[in-house]
Amino acid sequence: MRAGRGIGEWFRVINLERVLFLLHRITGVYLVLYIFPRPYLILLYGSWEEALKLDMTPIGKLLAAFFVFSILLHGINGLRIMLVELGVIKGWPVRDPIKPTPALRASKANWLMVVLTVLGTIIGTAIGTYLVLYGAETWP
Amino acid sequence: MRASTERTILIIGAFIMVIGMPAVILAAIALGEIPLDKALSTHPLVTIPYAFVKIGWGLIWAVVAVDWVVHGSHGMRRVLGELIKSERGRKILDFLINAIMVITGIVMFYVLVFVT
Repeated sequence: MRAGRGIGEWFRVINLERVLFLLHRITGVYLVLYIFPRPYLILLYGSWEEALKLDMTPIGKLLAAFFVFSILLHGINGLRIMLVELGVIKGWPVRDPIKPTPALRASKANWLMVVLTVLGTIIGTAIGTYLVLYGAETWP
Repeated sequence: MRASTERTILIIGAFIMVIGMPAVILAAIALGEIPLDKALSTHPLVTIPYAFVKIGWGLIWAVVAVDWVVHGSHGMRRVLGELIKSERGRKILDFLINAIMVITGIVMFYVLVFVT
């Protein structure tokens, strides 16, 4: 796959940043597909209670668990991307002739955010999935 | 739309969500509108945004939700834009994305504020 050639380019995984990029894109598309039909469903069913019944089915719970995972990963990794884009996270490249390191990978702040993304997503998804499966299905 | 404009909208949208969503949730818990024990024992989709509609905070959540729609639309424009090669196709995509964004944004606002 050559560079700049559509979605196939996402899967040209060569390092950690590319994996995070791929996951960011996939979770972003999932969030849009999950959230955008929601207001129309509520409009169609006429109430929140009726629309929420779909989320309490086994398939609805599976989709909700992946939604929790997606929103956490997309959100925390999105924060890292924002900090990189705004120049808050930056580093200096290591110009080693044998093993050069790109600027971003030399940044401790970037690694901290990567660890935060992974840990936050794992812990949050575990809690969120538990609540999706066993949490109360009505609000008083 | 210029790529730099799109990027700016995406970043501003993301910033509002990253700050706005936790802020609204924490404020509702801190003010006792949503009890913490209830939030930690309820299906997340029941808590958010249904609980916000129930306690009358639908309008506040609608600001975050509409921003969500704008951010998502621009993200999808980026993703789908990678599949389109012609200028005409890009203009059609722009039009469709803008139409979906406006309609979904209005419907999202309506259901959060006026549907209970």
